[in-house]
Amino acid sequence: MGFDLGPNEEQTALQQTLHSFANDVLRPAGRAAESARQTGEDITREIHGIGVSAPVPEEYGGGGTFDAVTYCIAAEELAWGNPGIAWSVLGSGLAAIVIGIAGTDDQKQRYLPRFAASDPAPSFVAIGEKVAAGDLDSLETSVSDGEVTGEKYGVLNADQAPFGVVVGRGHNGPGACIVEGGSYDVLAPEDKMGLEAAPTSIVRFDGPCHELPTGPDLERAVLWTKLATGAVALGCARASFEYSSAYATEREAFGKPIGAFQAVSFKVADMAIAVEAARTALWRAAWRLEHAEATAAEIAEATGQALTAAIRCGDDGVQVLGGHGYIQDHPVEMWFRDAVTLSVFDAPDLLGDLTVARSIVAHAGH
Amino acid sequence: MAIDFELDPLLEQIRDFVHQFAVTTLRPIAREADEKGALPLETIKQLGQLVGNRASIMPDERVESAAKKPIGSMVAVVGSEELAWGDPAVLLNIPGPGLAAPSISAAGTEEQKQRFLRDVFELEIDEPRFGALAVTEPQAGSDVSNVQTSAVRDGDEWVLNGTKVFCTNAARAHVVVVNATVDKSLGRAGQKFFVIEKGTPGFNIGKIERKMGLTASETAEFTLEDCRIPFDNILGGEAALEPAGSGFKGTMKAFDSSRPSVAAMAVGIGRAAFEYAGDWVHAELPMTTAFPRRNSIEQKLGQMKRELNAARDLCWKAAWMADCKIPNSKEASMAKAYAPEVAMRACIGAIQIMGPAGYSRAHLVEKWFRDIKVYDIFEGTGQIQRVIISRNILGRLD
Repeated sequence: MGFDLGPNEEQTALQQTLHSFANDVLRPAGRAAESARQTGEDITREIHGIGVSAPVPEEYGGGGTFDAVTYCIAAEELAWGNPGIAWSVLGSGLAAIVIGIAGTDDQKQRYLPRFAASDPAPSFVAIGEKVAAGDLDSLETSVSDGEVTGEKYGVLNADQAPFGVVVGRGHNGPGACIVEGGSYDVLAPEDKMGLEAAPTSIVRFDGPCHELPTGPDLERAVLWTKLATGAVALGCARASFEYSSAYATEREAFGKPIGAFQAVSFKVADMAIAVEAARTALWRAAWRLEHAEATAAEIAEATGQALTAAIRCGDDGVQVLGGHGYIQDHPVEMWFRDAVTLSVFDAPDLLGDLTVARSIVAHAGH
Repeated sequence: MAIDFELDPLLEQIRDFVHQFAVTTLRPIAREADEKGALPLETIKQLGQLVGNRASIMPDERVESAAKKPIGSMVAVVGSEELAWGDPAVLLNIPGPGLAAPSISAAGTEEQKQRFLRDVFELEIDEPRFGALAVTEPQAGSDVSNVQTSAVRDGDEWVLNGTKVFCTNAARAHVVVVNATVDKSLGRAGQKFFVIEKGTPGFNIGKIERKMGLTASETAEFTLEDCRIPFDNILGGEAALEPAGSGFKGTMKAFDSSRPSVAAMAVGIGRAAFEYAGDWVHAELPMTTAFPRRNSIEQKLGQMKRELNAARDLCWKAAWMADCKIPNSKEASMAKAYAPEVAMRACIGAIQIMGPAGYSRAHLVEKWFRDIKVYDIFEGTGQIQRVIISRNILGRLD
């Protein structure tokens, strides 16, 4: 006990495994997945095999679950390899986490073993809407009395998934339900500027559903999905920071490596700070989610910090490479597009900080 | 090891104790101290008695948790934030070795630690005692390697000559640590640290600065004119004179230890402004305030909180690394670069949120704004921190 930021042995081992995988497999695969607008089945299967994308408790036939901090460490590493692929694979398994935390015994029996298969079908957790993304209180989709009604944006795998989870407003606070494939209308695929390896659609939900019990477990489950956004943002930020830092030591101008000029090296320092601050913030939020009762505001803070870092590192990363950053021979322009696209899922400048603010104003003076 | 964000019970206890002290003792005298530019001696004595060693603002490597884990750096960051939340200028009037401690701890011999830290500060004493660290000179601020102050050996003494400026508590310090060069041709390697004791002839206090903020903290200039000190007052002893002896690198190590605490003070100031503005909005801003204005205020508050919490985590990380004896130069500079930047944003934001009440001297927010600015300057400017961070990442490229 006592403040400690050292990962344990299992976390370190997992991080190392995923880092090699990200470096050897995801980095080379990134551009092709982006062009194909989907993530290859072999990659999805391989990540699933490592056990991080859709953790299922052993009693439901899976390899066991792990804590939120470990999840963040794993997601950062995958996203470092490629944010779009990470978003696609992690997003496909998030429903396992939500059902595992918040589902009834019956729901767990019914759905979790399906994630435990060696080659599970993709699913989704649909949260974002046309206006509200980061802010759960403002969701318009209603989930109550066994019916779900509303339009969702950024829904992953909508046309392939046999089932998924929809988050909306319940009678009292957030509500969520499981919907079966075919019970909703895929209105249009989204043609996005970033995260293209993760195919998303606009979906209209209007019909019967299996509601998840509302209450603290459901809130915790939904907050976990926000952490996933933050962790992918963190990996994206670190990728751009490391790549552009290495470039700054190699590229020469005026007879010196460009990193010798403070206009460049200070960007490197600021990216480093952004990454470090995002990671500690995210780990704290994940730890709180696991050990105490993290509030929506705390999670929004951490996710906001990570998304801000991703955008800053994306922008500065391209800037450090200059014209070379703008062309597709280098990955930094992709990471920048990915970062900004990701921020729509939980925009720190718009809604994340407002979620934090509401809790401040509500509690000020006490 | 395991990732754990729970504070050790001893740290929680210290945080709560220091916070109470800040509420009951520091805040009430903050405004008056700022206006007068000093604290009455009686108050300084009381501060010393009240806090004792529990509010050490700089790391003490001897402090351990119940589980016998060193937590001196964590105590320093947790305590510093609360003290600065109370009042950053008054906190610098709490008797103790202050910034002299990290350099003596980092570069001094055991005998020197005993003589200059324990004997001077921990024995039964009636009068408040202070320590000081003097690095900056009129022509050398961030460029520490360019100091002109010289130290020449004369038998069993050193003879020091030069001018130091912007030194906190120099005028009343019992122990002043200065850097001086023993051989200009050696550049940085020729720089060593020396301890000057109160009352040494040739140590002359010059002007006391009038500043934008932190007015209640005394900032002095002093000159060294053929100032003779014992040979043994070179930090690290005779070994310091060897090529690999502690000198410039010794200071840098000291900064690794003090920077997280100074950054934590910045977090404390920013948090003070943030909380004050939040309370003000709650009490004074009618709920009927037009939506765009209220929304923009709320968003500003949200950003402040997010950034201040992230800054605190950076301070804690750097301190935790120091306690674990993990090299933390990069992380200490990250904390020191980031915390003053976001705390400054919080102070300006608080003033803007409160409007005319923000710039009014009837509230402390304007004072915190004036106080926070120097945190991005002393103990290494934000720019110097970025030089250190980027060199850690890129290596030396020039």
